[in-house]
Amino acid sequence: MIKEEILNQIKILASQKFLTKEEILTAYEEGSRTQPETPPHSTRLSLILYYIGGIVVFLGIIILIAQHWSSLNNFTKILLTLGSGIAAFMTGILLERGGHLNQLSQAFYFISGLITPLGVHITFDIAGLDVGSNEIQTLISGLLFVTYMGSYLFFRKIIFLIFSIIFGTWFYVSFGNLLIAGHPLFDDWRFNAYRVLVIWLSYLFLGYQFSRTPSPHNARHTLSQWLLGIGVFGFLGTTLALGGWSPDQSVLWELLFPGLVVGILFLSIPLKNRSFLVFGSLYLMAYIVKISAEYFEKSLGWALCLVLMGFLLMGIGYFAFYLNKKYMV
Amino acid sequence: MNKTKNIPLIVGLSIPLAMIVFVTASIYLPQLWAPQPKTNFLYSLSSTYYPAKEYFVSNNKIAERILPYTGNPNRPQPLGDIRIYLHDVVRNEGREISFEEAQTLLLDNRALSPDGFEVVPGTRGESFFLFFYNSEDYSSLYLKGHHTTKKLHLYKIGSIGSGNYSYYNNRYRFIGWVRE
Repeated sequence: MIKEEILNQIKILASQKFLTKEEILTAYEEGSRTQPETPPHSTRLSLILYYIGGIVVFLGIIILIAQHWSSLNNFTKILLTLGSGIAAFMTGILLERGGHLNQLSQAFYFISGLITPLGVHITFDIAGLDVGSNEIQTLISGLLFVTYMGSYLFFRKIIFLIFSIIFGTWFYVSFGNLLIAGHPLFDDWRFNAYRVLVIWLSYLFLGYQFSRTPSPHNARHTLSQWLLGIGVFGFLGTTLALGGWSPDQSVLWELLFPGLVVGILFLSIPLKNRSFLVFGSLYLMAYIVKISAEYFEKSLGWALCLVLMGFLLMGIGYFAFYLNKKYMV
Repeated sequence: MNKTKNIPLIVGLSIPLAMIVFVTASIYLPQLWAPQPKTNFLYSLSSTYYPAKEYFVSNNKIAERILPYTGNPNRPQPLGDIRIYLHDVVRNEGREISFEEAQTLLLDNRALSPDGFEVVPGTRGESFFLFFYNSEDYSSLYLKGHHTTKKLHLYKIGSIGSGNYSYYNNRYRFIGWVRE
């Protein structure tokens, strides 16, 4: 929620005589006396340790299965993977009901999100299905997406939203492959680049949506920063790649790219997002190097090209530093 | 008010959906108004990767030339039996014809047929998790043109029934379009 929006709401409610000045002042004073909801340092550290523990458990199960693959029977393989995933999920629910073990429950949901896809793959493989085929990849990713999105809608835990985004992306890729399989209409690499570009654009919009949450310290805000960071990195990388290379270049994308980068750099100010500033500056540098090598290396010569590039890169570096100092700090 | 607040969320979810709809529409919609292929074509199939001879078009007529063995001389393999087929694109089926019968046909060996189609390999989109790539799939051939594709039911000789038959390389050779 944006500050202006809250103030507007207060104005509307005050004009309707629904709120009094005293009520607003009392609420303000109560709020200013309470501690901010930033998790204490020790809590954040324990959360990080929980997640690291989750990754270690996941790796342990993979190694255990890999070492004893030939000696394990089918039932044990399914039990170790899919069974562990479901057990971790159920443990998470039970811990959450304990109240004070809420953060530990997130770690178990995390383990479940890592192991369950492996478990589903192994179960389908044992069932005799071709897990590498587009049909089965679509089915697996679709099942996982529905399960984790449903869990998010029911439990409202960010960890489920993160896995929903991952499994949703996987479903989008697999289903796209299923649709185009065989059809030589889509044999151009640029078509795949556009498919990927859609993923990054979607991340940018989702990241922006999640950034508009009331508290800057909650997990949703952190997720939004990650989505914006990954989204802008992928978006600029893909659009740079779409420009291609002479003589097979796309002039449209090569001309559009600097405009996109400048747009991203300026968006970093209202969004107060350093990823936009850092990746925007780095990609602008990469673009200058690419265009120089592609078009000016033969006419100007490498030495002069390097000198000009050096000055331009210094200029971009200073500009990024200036924006960071003026608007971000 | 809630609607405007959720616009980025709606757009973020709509873009991938729109892409899927676009891909589906690109595959199926042009089939509604694209012209049907009419020009039949000749192709040859070899039973091995080292055919004994090849067929080609010279002065709009089929011709043949003997091919030397080009494989590893230390491990010679038998030269392949090569046969000619006439494919009817309307019925999407073909029949084997003799060299003498093929000589009576007027041929055009350009890649694109007079009615705007070409024979191309299929594509294979493969993915694991978030990693994916497309590659050419020589286990099937398609007639491509006017933004449509049609899978061709061609003959298979050689490793019939092995399950991994391929039209790759010397096994399949397009000879030419049959001009009326």
